[in-house]
Amino acid sequence: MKGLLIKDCRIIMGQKKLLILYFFVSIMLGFTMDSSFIVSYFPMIAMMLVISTIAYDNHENGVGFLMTMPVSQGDYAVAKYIFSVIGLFSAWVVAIFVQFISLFIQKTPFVVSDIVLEDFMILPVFFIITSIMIPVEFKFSSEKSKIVLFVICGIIILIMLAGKSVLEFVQTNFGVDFEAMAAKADTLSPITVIAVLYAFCVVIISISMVISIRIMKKKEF
Amino acid sequence: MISLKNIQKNYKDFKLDVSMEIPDGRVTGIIGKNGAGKTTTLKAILGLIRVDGGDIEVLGKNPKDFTGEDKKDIGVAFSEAGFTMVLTVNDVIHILRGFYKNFDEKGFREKCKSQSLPLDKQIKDFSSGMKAKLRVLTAMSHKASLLILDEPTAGLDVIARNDVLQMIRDYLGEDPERSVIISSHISSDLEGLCDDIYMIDNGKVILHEDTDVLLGKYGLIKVGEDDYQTLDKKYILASKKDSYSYTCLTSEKQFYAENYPKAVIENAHIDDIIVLMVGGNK
Repeated sequence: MKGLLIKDCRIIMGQKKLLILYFFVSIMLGFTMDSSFIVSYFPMIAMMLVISTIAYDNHENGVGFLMTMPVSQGDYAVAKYIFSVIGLFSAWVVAIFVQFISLFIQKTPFVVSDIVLEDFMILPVFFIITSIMIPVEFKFSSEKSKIVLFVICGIIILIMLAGKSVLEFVQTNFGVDFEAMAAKADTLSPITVIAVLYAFCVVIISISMVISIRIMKKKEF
Repeated sequence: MISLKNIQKNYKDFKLDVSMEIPDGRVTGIIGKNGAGKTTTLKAILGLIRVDGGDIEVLGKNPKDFTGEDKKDIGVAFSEAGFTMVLTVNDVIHILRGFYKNFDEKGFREKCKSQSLPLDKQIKDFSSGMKAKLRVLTAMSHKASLLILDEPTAGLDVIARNDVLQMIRDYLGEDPERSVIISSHISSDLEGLCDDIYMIDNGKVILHEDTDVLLGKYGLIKVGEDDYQTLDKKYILASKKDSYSYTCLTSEKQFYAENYPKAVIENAHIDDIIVLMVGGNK
Protein backbone atom coordinates (compact mmCIF):
# COMPACT_ATOMS: atom_id res chain seq x y z
CA MET A 1 0.00 0.00 0.00
CA LYS A 2 2.91 2.34 0.80
CA GLY A 3 4.16 1.89 -2.75
CA LEU A 4 0.77 2.91 -4.16
CA LEU A 5 0.72 6.10 -2.10
CA ILE A 6 4.28 6.96 -3.13
CA LYS A 7 3.31 6.34 -6.77
CA ASP A 8 0.37 8.75 -6.56
CA CYS A 9 2.55 11.40 -4.90
CA ARG A 10 5.17 10.97 -7.59
CA ILE A 11 2.59 11.23 -10.38
CA ILE A 12 1.38 14.54 -8.98
CA MET A 13 4.92 15.81 -8.36
CA GLY A 14 5.68 14.89 -11.96
CA GLN A 15 3.20 17.52 -13.15
CA LYS A 16 5.47 20.33 -11.97
CA LYS A 17 4.45 22.88 -14.60
CA LEU A 18 0.77 22.39 -13.83
CA LEU A 19 1.41 22.62 -10.09
CA ILE A 20 3.39 25.84 -10.44
CA LEU A 21 0.61 27.31 -12.59
CA TYR A 22 -2.04 26.30 -10.02
CA PHE A 23 0.07 27.72 -7.23
CA PHE A 24 0.46 31.16 -8.84
CA VAL A 25 -3.19 31.35 -9.87
CA SER A 26 -4.17 30.40 -6.32
CA ILE A 27 -1.93 33.02 -4.75
CA MET A 28 -3.23 35.65 -7.17
CA LEU A 29 -6.85 34.74 -6.48
CA GLY A 30 -6.19 34.41 -2.75
CA PHE A 31 -4.93 37.96 -2.49
CA THR A 32 -7.36 39.60 -4.91
CA MET A 33 -10.67 37.84 -4.24
CA ASP A 34 -12.64 37.11 -1.11
CA SER A 35 -10.20 35.24 1.13
CA SER A 36 -12.63 32.34 1.67
CA PHE A 37 -12.43 31.50 -2.04
CA ILE A 38 -8.98 30.01 -1.67
CA VAL A 39 -10.26 27.51 0.94
CA SER A 40 -12.55 26.03 -1.74
CA TYR A 41 -10.09 26.45 -4.59
CA PHE A 42 -7.15 24.55 -3.09
CA PRO A 43 -9.10 21.38 -2.18
CA MET A 44 -10.80 21.50 -5.60
CA ILE A 45 -7.41 21.44 -7.33
CA ALA A 46 -6.27 18.67 -4.96
CA MET A 47 -9.39 16.68 -5.79
CA MET A 48 -8.77 17.02 -9.53
CA LEU A 49 -5.15 15.94 -9.12
CA VAL A 50 -6.12 12.93 -6.99
CA ILE A 51 -8.73 11.82 -9.51
CA SER A 52 -6.25 12.33 -12.37
CA THR A 53 -3.99 9.67 -10.81
CA ILE A 54 -6.69 7.06 -11.58
CA ALA A 55 -6.61 8.04 -15.26
CA TYR A 56 -2.81 7.83 -15.25
CA ASP A 57 -3.00 4.37 -13.68
CA ASN A 58 -5.56 3.21 -16.23
CA HIS A 59 -3.44 4.32 -19.16
CA GLU A 60 -2.07 1.30 -21.07
CA ASN A 61 -3.42 -1.17 -18.50
CA GLY A 62 -1.18 0.27 -15.79
CA VAL A 63 -3.55 -0.98 -13.07
CA GLY A 64 -3.05 -4.53 -14.36
CA PHE A 65 0.69 -4.08 -13.95
CA LEU A 66 0.24 -2.63 -10.45
CA MET A 67 -1.78 -5.73 -9.53
CA THR A 68 1.32 -7.86 -10.17
CA MET A 69 3.02 -5.99 -7.32
CA PRO A 70 2.49 -6.93 -3.66
CA VAL A 71 -0.96 -5.34 -3.36
CA SER A 72 -4.49 -6.61 -3.80
CA GLN A 73 -7.30 -5.01 -5.78
CA GLY A 74 -8.89 -3.97 -2.48
CA ASP A 75 -5.61 -2.36 -1.35
CA TYR A 76 -5.58 -0.32 -4.56
CA ALA A 77 -9.08 1.02 -3.88
CA VAL A 78 -8.36 1.78 -0.21
CA ALA A 79 -5.08 3.52 -1.11
CA LYS A 80 -6.98 5.94 -3.36
CA TYR A 81 -9.23 6.94 -0.46
CA ILE A 82 -6.30 7.36 1.91
CA PHE A 83 -4.54 9.46 -0.70
CA SER A 84 -7.69 11.53 -1.31
CA VAL A 85 -8.24 12.23 2.38
CA ILE A 86 -4.57 13.15 2.92
CA GLY A 87 -4.50 15.25 -0.27
CA LEU A 88 -7.73 17.13 0.40
CA PHE A 89 -6.88 17.72 4.04
CA SER A 90 -3.36 18.97 3.24
CA ALA A 91 -4.67 21.31 0.52
CA TRP A 92 -7.31 22.60 2.91
CA VAL A 93 -4.75 23.27 5.68
CA VAL A 94 -2.45 25.12 3.24
CA ALA A 95 -5.47 27.08 1.97
CA ILE A 96 -6.39 28.20 5.50
CA PHE A 97 -2.81 29.28 6.03
CA VAL A 98 -2.86 31.34 2.80
CA GLN A 99 -6.29 32.70 3.75
CA PHE A 100 -5.03 34.09 7.04
CA ILE A 101 -1.93 35.60 5.41
CA SER A 102 -4.26 37.23 2.86
CA LEU A 103 -6.51 38.56 5.63
CA PHE A 104 -3.53 40.03 7.47
CA ILE A 105 -2.12 41.62 4.32
CA GLN A 106 -5.50 43.02 3.26
CA LYS A 107 -5.97 44.23 6.84
CA THR A 108 -9.53 42.90 6.78
CA PRO A 109 -11.14 42.77 10.23
CA PHE A 110 -12.10 39.20 11.07
CA VAL A 111 -13.07 36.85 13.89
CA VAL A 112 -10.83 33.74 13.84
CA SER A 113 -13.51 31.36 15.17
CA ASP A 114 -16.05 32.46 12.52
CA ILE A 115 -13.57 31.92 9.70
CA VAL A 116 -12.38 28.56 11.01
CA LEU A 117 -15.96 27.32 11.47
CA GLU A 118 -16.79 28.43 7.94
CA ASP A 119 -13.68 26.65 6.63
CA PHE A 120 -14.66 23.45 8.46
CA MET A 121 -17.94 23.45 6.52
CA ILE A 122 -16.12 23.45 3.16
CA LEU A 123 -13.94 20.33 3.45
CA PRO A 124 -16.80 17.75 3.75
CA VAL A 125 -18.24 18.97 0.43
CA PHE A 126 -15.04 17.88 -1.32
CA PHE A 127 -14.92 14.60 0.58
CA ILE A 128 -18.42 13.82 -0.65
CA ILE A 129 -17.73 14.83 -4.28
CA THR A 130 -14.53 12.73 -4.25
CA SER A 131 -16.48 9.80 -2.79
CA ILE A 132 -18.79 9.97 -5.80
CA MET A 133 -16.00 10.42 -8.33
CA ILE A 134 -13.67 7.58 -7.25
CA PRO A 135 -16.06 4.64 -7.85
CA VAL A 136 -17.24 6.24 -11.10
CA GLU A 137 -13.63 6.54 -12.30
CA PHE A 138 -12.97 2.92 -11.26
CA LYS A 139 -16.03 1.62 -13.03
CA PHE A 140 -15.86 3.58 -16.26
CA SER A 141 -13.09 4.67 -18.57
CA SER A 142 -11.85 8.24 -18.34
CA GLU A 143 -14.10 9.43 -21.19
CA LYS A 144 -17.19 7.56 -20.06
CA SER A 145 -16.76 8.68 -16.46
CA LYS A 146 -17.15 12.33 -17.53
CA ILE A 147 -20.56 11.51 -19.02
CA VAL A 148 -21.53 9.47 -15.96
CA LEU A 149 -20.53 12.31 -13.61
CA PHE A 150 -22.55 14.75 -15.73
CA VAL A 151 -25.57 12.43 -15.42
CA ILE A 152 -25.02 12.08 -11.65
CA CYS A 153 -24.94 15.91 -11.29
CA GLY A 154 -28.23 16.09 -13.23
CA ILE A 155 -29.80 13.44 -11.00
CA ILE A 156 -28.67 15.30 -7.86
CA ILE A 157 -30.21 18.55 -9.16
CA LEU A 158 -33.44 16.71 -10.03
CA ILE A 159 -33.55 15.13 -6.56
CA MET A 160 -33.02 18.54 -4.99
CA LEU A 161 -35.79 20.09 -7.09
CA ALA A 162 -38.12 17.16 -6.50
CA GLY A 163 -37.16 17.16 -2.81
CA LYS A 164 -38.27 20.77 -2.47
CA SER A 165 -41.63 19.94 -4.07
CA VAL A 166 -42.05 16.84 -1.89
CA LEU A 167 -41.29 18.86 1.25
CA GLU A 168 -43.83 21.51 0.22
CA PHE A 169 -46.42 18.79 -0.47
CA VAL A 170 -45.83 17.09 2.91
CA GLN A 171 -45.91 20.45 4.73
CA THR A 172 -49.22 21.47 3.12
CA ASN A 173 -51.01 18.13 3.28
CA PHE A 174 -49.65 16.51 6.43
CA GLY A 175 -49.03 19.55 8.58
CA VAL A 176 -45.34 18.83 9.16
CA ASP A 177 -43.68 22.15 9.94
CA PHE A 178 -40.27 21.93 8.26
CA GLU A 179 -39.62 25.64 8.85
CA ALA A 180 -39.93 25.14 12.60
CA MET A 181 -37.60 22.16 12.35
CA ALA A 182 -35.10 24.26 10.38
CA ALA A 183 -35.36 27.02 12.97
CA LYS A 184 -34.67 24.46 15.70
CA ALA A 185 -31.63 23.24 13.76
CA ASP A 186 -30.42 26.84 13.67
CA THR A 187 -30.25 26.83 17.44
CA LEU A 188 -27.76 23.93 17.39
CA SER A 189 -24.22 24.93 18.15
CA PRO A 190 -21.97 25.20 15.05
CA ILE A 191 -19.68 22.55 16.56
CA THR A 192 -22.61 20.09 16.73
CA VAL A 193 -23.47 20.85 13.09
CA ILE A 194 -19.85 20.30 12.03
CA ALA A 195 -19.67 17.05 14.03
CA VAL A 196 -22.85 15.79 12.31
CA LEU A 197 -21.49 16.87 8.92
CA TYR A 198 -18.18 15.04 9.43
CA ALA A 199 -19.97 11.94 10.75
CA PHE A 200 -22.12 12.01 7.59
CA CYS A 201 -18.90 12.31 5.57
CA VAL A 202 -17.40 9.25 7.24
CA VAL A 203 -20.55 7.27 6.36
CA ILE A 204 -20.47 8.43 2.71
CA ILE A 205 -16.73 7.72 2.36
CA SER A 206 -17.19 4.26 3.92
CA ILE A 207 -20.09 3.37 1.58
CA SER A 208 -18.14 4.70 -1.41
CA MET A 209 -15.06 2.71 -0.39
CA VAL A 210 -17.04 -0.54 -0.09
CA ILE A 211 -18.49 0.07 -3.59
CA SER A 212 -15.02 0.84 -5.00
CA ILE A 213 -13.49 -2.30 -3.46
CA ARG A 214 -16.27 -4.38 -5.04
CA ILE A 215 -15.74 -2.73 -8.43
CA MET A 216 -12.00 -3.36 -8.27
CA LYS A 217 -12.42 -6.98 -7.16
CA LYS A 218 -14.72 -7.67 -10.10
CA LYS A 219 -12.26 -6.18 -12.58
CA GLU A 220 -10.09 -8.22 -14.90
CA PHE A 221 -6.90 -6.87 -16.35
CA MET B 1 6.09 -25.33 -9.52
CA ILE B 2 3.35 -23.88 -11.69
CA SER B 3 0.54 -26.15 -12.67
CA LEU B 4 -2.28 -25.34 -15.07
CA LYS B 5 -4.83 -28.10 -15.58
CA ASN B 6 -7.32 -27.50 -18.37
CA ILE B 7 -7.47 -23.78 -17.75
CA GLN B 8 -10.32 -22.29 -19.68
CA LYS B 9 -11.15 -18.72 -20.42
CA ASN B 10 -13.89 -17.79 -22.83
CA TYR B 11 -14.10 -14.48 -24.63
CA LYS B 12 -16.58 -13.54 -27.32
CA ASP B 13 -14.25 -14.49 -30.16
CA PHE B 14 -11.51 -16.44 -28.39
CA LYS B 15 -11.30 -19.49 -26.17
CA LEU B 16 -8.28 -20.47 -24.10
CA ASP B 17 -7.90 -24.08 -23.02
CA VAL B 18 -4.40 -24.96 -21.86
CA SER B 19 -2.56 -27.29 -19.50
CA MET B 20 1.04 -26.76 -18.40
CA GLU B 21 3.48 -28.08 -15.81
CA ILE B 22 6.38 -25.74 -15.12
CA PRO B 23 8.87 -27.07 -12.54
CA ASP B 24 10.99 -24.77 -10.38
CA GLY B 25 14.36 -23.62 -11.65
CA ARG B 26 13.42 -23.85 -15.32
CA VAL B 27 13.25 -21.30 -18.09
CA THR B 28 10.06 -21.99 -19.97
CA GLY B 29 9.14 -20.29 -23.20
CA ILE B 30 5.66 -19.76 -24.54
CA ILE B 31 5.64 -19.14 -28.24
CA GLY B 32 2.86 -18.48 -30.68
CA LYS B 33 1.66 -15.95 -33.19
CA ASN B 34 0.02 -12.70 -32.08
CA GLY B 35 -3.35 -13.39 -30.47
CA ALA B 36 -2.56 -17.08 -29.87
CA GLY B 37 -3.25 -16.82 -26.13
CA LYS B 38 0.21 -16.26 -24.64
CA THR B 39 -0.65 -13.13 -22.66
CA THR B 40 -4.00 -14.58 -21.54
CA THR B 41 -2.16 -17.63 -20.19
CA LEU B 42 0.28 -15.43 -18.28
CA LYS B 43 -2.59 -13.32 -16.93
CA ALA B 44 -4.28 -16.50 -15.71
CA ILE B 45 -1.04 -17.52 -13.95
CA LEU B 46 -0.93 -14.11 -12.27
CA GLY B 47 -4.61 -14.12 -11.31
CA LEU B 48 -5.29 -11.00 -13.36
CA ILE B 49 -8.23 -12.70 -15.06
CA ARG B 50 -10.87 -15.04 -13.68
CA VAL B 51 -10.73 -18.40 -15.39
CA ASP B 52 -13.94 -20.17 -16.40
CA GLY B 53 -12.65 -23.65 -15.59
CA GLY B 54 -9.67 -25.75 -14.59
CA ASP B 55 -7.15 -25.58 -11.77
CA ILE B 56 -4.15 -23.31 -11.39
CA GLU B 57 -1.46 -23.52 -8.77
CA VAL B 58 1.36 -21.01 -8.61
CA LEU B 59 3.89 -21.05 -5.75
CA GLY B 60 1.59 -23.42 -3.88
CA LYS B 61 -1.57 -21.34 -4.19
CA ASN B 62 -4.40 -20.54 -6.53
CA PRO B 63 -3.55 -17.07 -7.89
CA LYS B 64 -7.06 -15.81 -7.10
CA ASP B 65 -6.16 -16.28 -3.42
CA PHE B 66 -2.87 -14.39 -3.72
CA THR B 67 -2.24 -11.84 -1.02
CA GLY B 68 0.14 -8.93 -1.49
CA GLU B 69 2.75 -10.93 0.43
CA ASP B 70 2.50 -13.88 -2.02
CA LYS B 71 3.28 -11.60 -4.95
CA LYS B 72 6.59 -10.42 -3.46
CA ASP B 73 8.29 -13.47 -4.92
CA ILE B 74 7.13 -12.76 -8.46
CA GLY B 75 8.57 -10.22 -10.88
CA VAL B 76 6.52 -9.31 -13.93
CA ALA B 77 7.14 -7.39 -17.14
CA PHE B 78 4.37 -6.88 -19.67
CA SER B 79 5.06 -5.62 -23.15
CA GLU B 80 2.33 -3.02 -23.07
CA ALA B 81 1.80 -2.23 -19.43
CA GLY B 82 3.94 -0.66 -16.79
CA PHE B 83 4.29 2.39 -14.65
CA THR B 84 2.62 5.49 -16.01
CA MET B 85 4.77 7.33 -18.53
CA VAL B 86 4.92 10.61 -16.61
CA LEU B 87 7.17 8.99 -14.01
CA THR B 88 10.96 8.96 -14.12
CA VAL B 89 13.36 6.16 -13.16
CA ASN B 90 13.98 8.07 -9.92
CA ASP B 91 10.24 7.92 -9.21
CA VAL B 92 10.23 4.20 -10.00
CA ILE B 93 13.07 3.69 -7.48
CA HIS B 94 11.03 5.40 -4.74
CA ILE B 95 7.94 3.37 -5.63
CA LEU B 96 9.76 0.03 -5.70
CA ARG B 97 11.34 0.88 -2.36
CA GLY B 98 7.80 1.33 -1.03
CA PHE B 99 6.59 -1.97 -2.49
CA TYR B 100 9.46 -4.36 -1.77
CA LYS B 101 11.48 -4.77 1.41
CA ASN B 102 14.21 -6.60 -0.52
CA PHE B 103 14.37 -4.08 -3.35
CA ASP B 104 17.97 -4.05 -4.52
CA GLU B 105 18.30 -0.29 -5.01
CA LYS B 106 22.06 -0.30 -5.50
CA GLY B 107 21.88 -3.06 -8.09
CA PHE B 108 18.93 -1.41 -9.83
CA ARG B 109 20.73 1.93 -10.08
CA GLU B 110 23.89 0.24 -11.38
CA LYS B 111 21.97 -1.70 -14.02
CA CYS B 112 20.07 1.42 -15.11
CA LYS B 113 23.40 3.19 -15.46
CA SER B 114 24.96 0.34 -17.42
CA GLN B 115 21.95 0.29 -19.75
CA SER B 116 22.14 4.11 -20.13
CA LEU B 117 18.70 4.72 -18.64
CA PRO B 118 18.54 8.35 -17.45
CA LEU B 119 17.19 8.74 -13.93
CA ASP B 120 15.46 12.09 -14.38
CA LYS B 121 13.84 11.71 -17.77
CA GLN B 122 10.13 10.86 -17.99
CA ILE B 123 9.51 7.33 -19.28
CA LYS B 124 7.38 8.72 -22.12
CA ASP B 125 10.54 10.24 -23.61
CA PHE B 126 12.37 6.88 -23.57
CA SER B 127 12.97 4.88 -26.76
CA SER B 128 11.17 1.51 -27.11
CA GLY B 129 14.38 -0.28 -26.16
CA MET B 130 14.85 1.82 -23.04
CA LYS B 131 11.24 1.24 -21.96
CA ALA B 132 11.65 -2.53 -22.44
CA LYS B 133 14.89 -2.57 -20.46
CA LEU B 134 13.28 -0.61 -17.62
CA ARG B 135 10.32 -3.01 -17.52
CA VAL B 136 12.62 -6.04 -17.30
CA LEU B 137 14.92 -4.41 -14.73
CA THR B 138 11.86 -3.50 -12.65
CA ALA B 139 10.72 -7.13 -12.69
CA MET B 140 14.19 -8.23 -11.55
CA SER B 141 14.65 -5.50 -8.96
CA HIS B 142 13.51 -7.43 -5.89
CA LYS B 143 15.23 -10.80 -6.43
CA ALA B 144 12.00 -12.63 -7.25
CA SER B 145 12.24 -16.40 -7.55
CA LEU B 146 9.75 -16.38 -10.42
CA LEU B 147 9.99 -14.00 -13.37
CA ILE B 148 7.11 -13.72 -15.79
CA LEU B 149 8.05 -11.81 -18.91
CA ASP B 150 5.46 -11.16 -21.58
CA GLU B 151 7.03 -10.35 -24.94
CA PRO B 152 9.98 -8.51 -23.35
CA THR B 153 11.71 -8.07 -26.72
CA ALA B 154 8.70 -7.19 -28.89
CA GLY B 155 9.36 -4.28 -31.24
CA LEU B 156 13.05 -3.97 -30.33
CA ASP B 157 16.03 -3.76 -32.65
CA VAL B 158 18.58 -6.57 -32.54
CA ILE B 159 20.96 -4.72 -30.19
CA ALA B 160 18.25 -3.90 -27.65
CA ARG B 161 16.92 -7.47 -27.91
CA ASN B 162 20.34 -8.90 -27.15
CA ASP B 163 20.72 -6.52 -24.21
CA VAL B 164 17.37 -7.61 -22.74
CA LEU B 165 18.17 -11.31 -23.25
CA GLN B 166 21.58 -10.85 -21.64
CA MET B 167 19.94 -9.17 -18.65
CA ILE B 168 17.71 -12.24 -18.25
CA ARG B 169 20.71 -14.60 -18.55
CA ASP B 170 22.61 -12.56 -15.94
CA TYR B 171 19.61 -12.73 -13.60
CA LEU B 172 19.45 -16.49 -13.95
CA GLY B 173 23.20 -16.74 -13.45
CA GLU B 174 22.92 -15.05 -10.03
CA ASP B 175 20.73 -17.87 -8.68
CA PRO B 176 20.11 -21.14 -10.55
CA GLU B 177 16.94 -21.78 -8.50
CA ARG B 178 15.15 -18.92 -10.21
CA SER B 179 12.41 -19.74 -12.70
CA VAL B 180 11.44 -17.72 -15.74
CA ILE B 181 8.38 -17.93 -17.94
CA ILE B 182 8.88 -15.90 -21.07
CA SER B 183 6.46 -15.44 -23.92
CA SER B 184 7.51 -14.32 -27.33
CA HIS B 185 6.65 -14.60 -30.97
CA ILE B 186 10.35 -14.28 -31.84
CA SER B 187 11.66 -17.83 -31.84
CA SER B 188 15.37 -17.01 -31.85
CA ASP B 189 14.93 -15.24 -28.49
CA LEU B 190 13.67 -18.44 -26.93
CA GLU B 191 15.99 -20.92 -28.66
CA GLY B 192 19.05 -19.75 -26.79
CA LEU B 193 17.35 -19.12 -23.47
CA CYS B 194 14.67 -21.67 -22.66
CA ASP B 195 14.88 -25.19 -21.25
CA ASP B 196 11.52 -26.07 -22.73
CA ILE B 197 8.99 -24.46 -25.00
CA TYR B 198 5.21 -24.49 -25.15
CA MET B 199 3.79 -23.68 -28.55
CA ILE B 200 0.34 -22.13 -28.38
CA ASP B 201 -2.06 -21.56 -31.22
CA ASN B 202 -5.66 -20.47 -31.12
CA GLY B 203 -5.81 -20.84 -27.34
CA LYS B 204 -4.45 -24.40 -27.28
CA VAL B 205 -1.04 -25.95 -26.59
CA ILE B 206 -0.08 -27.59 -29.87
CA LEU B 207 3.40 -28.69 -28.84
CA HIS B 208 5.49 -28.94 -25.69
CA GLU B 209 9.07 -30.07 -25.88
CA ASP B 210 12.50 -29.49 -24.39
CA THR B 211 14.42 -26.99 -26.50
CA ASP B 212 17.33 -29.41 -26.92
CA VAL B 213 14.97 -32.03 -28.31
CA LEU B 214 13.29 -29.51 -30.62
CA LEU B 215 16.58 -28.38 -32.05
CA GLY B 216 18.30 -31.79 -31.97
CA LYS B 217 15.66 -34.29 -33.01
CA TYR B 218 13.12 -32.29 -34.98
CA GLY B 219 13.79 -31.83 -38.67
CA LEU B 220 12.28 -30.87 -41.99
CA ILE B 221 12.05 -33.48 -44.72
CA LYS B 222 11.64 -32.28 -48.27
CA VAL B 223 10.33 -34.89 -50.69
CA GLY B 224 8.65 -35.04 -54.07
CA GLU B 225 5.02 -36.06 -54.45
CA ASP B 226 5.79 -39.71 -55.26
CA ASP B 227 8.25 -40.11 -52.39
CA TYR B 228 5.77 -38.47 -50.06
CA GLN B 229 3.21 -41.19 -50.77
CA THR B 230 5.67 -43.91 -49.76
CA LEU B 231 7.13 -42.04 -46.78
CA ASP B 232 6.57 -43.71 -43.41
CA LYS B 233 4.41 -41.14 -41.58
CA LYS B 234 5.01 -42.64 -38.11
CA TYR B 235 7.12 -39.67 -36.94
CA ILE B 236 5.65 -37.00 -39.18
CA LEU B 237 3.92 -34.35 -37.07
CA ALA B 238 2.74 -32.10 -39.88
CA SER B 239 3.28 -31.63 -43.57
CA LYS B 240 2.72 -28.91 -46.10
CA LYS B 241 2.38 -29.16 -49.85
CA ASP B 242 4.51 -26.71 -51.81
CA SER B 243 4.43 -26.22 -55.61
CA TYR B 244 6.20 -29.46 -56.58
CA SER B 245 7.08 -31.06 -53.26
CA TYR B 246 6.12 -31.67 -49.66
CA THR B 247 7.77 -30.29 -46.55
CA CYS B 248 7.27 -32.54 -43.54
CA LEU B 249 8.02 -31.88 -39.91
CA THR B 250 9.40 -34.84 -38.02
CA SER B 251 10.28 -35.39 -34.41
CA GLU B 252 12.77 -38.12 -35.41
CA LYS B 253 14.97 -36.78 -38.16
CA GLN B 254 17.57 -39.50 -37.51
CA PHE B 255 15.03 -42.19 -38.40
CA TYR B 256 14.41 -40.64 -41.81
CA ALA B 257 18.10 -39.92 -42.38
CA GLU B 258 18.83 -43.61 -41.90
CA ASN B 259 15.84 -45.00 -43.81
CA TYR B 260 15.51 -42.45 -46.61
CA PRO B 261 19.07 -41.57 -47.59
CA LYS B 262 17.91 -39.71 -50.70
CA ALA B 263 15.51 -37.42 -48.82
CA VAL B 264 16.60 -33.84 -48.12
CA ILE B 265 16.58 -33.47 -44.34
CA GLU B 266 17.28 -30.14 -42.66
CA ASN B 267 17.47 -29.04 -39.08
CA ALA B 268 14.20 -27.47 -37.94
CA HIS B 269 14.21 -24.08 -36.31
CA ILE B 270 11.37 -23.08 -34.05
CA ASP B 271 9.95 -20.80 -36.74
CA ASP B 272 9.78 -23.74 -39.14
CA ILE B 273 8.09 -25.86 -36.49
CA ILE B 274 5.50 -23.15 -35.82
CA VAL B 275 4.78 -22.62 -39.52
CA LEU B 276 4.17 -26.34 -40.05
CA MET B 277 2.35 -27.00 -36.79
CA VAL B 278 0.04 -24.04 -37.35
CA GLY B 279 -0.28 -23.98 -41.13
CA GLY B 280 0.44 -27.58 -42.15
CA ASN B 281 -1.72 -30.72 -42.26
CA LYS B 282 -1.42 -32.88 -39.17
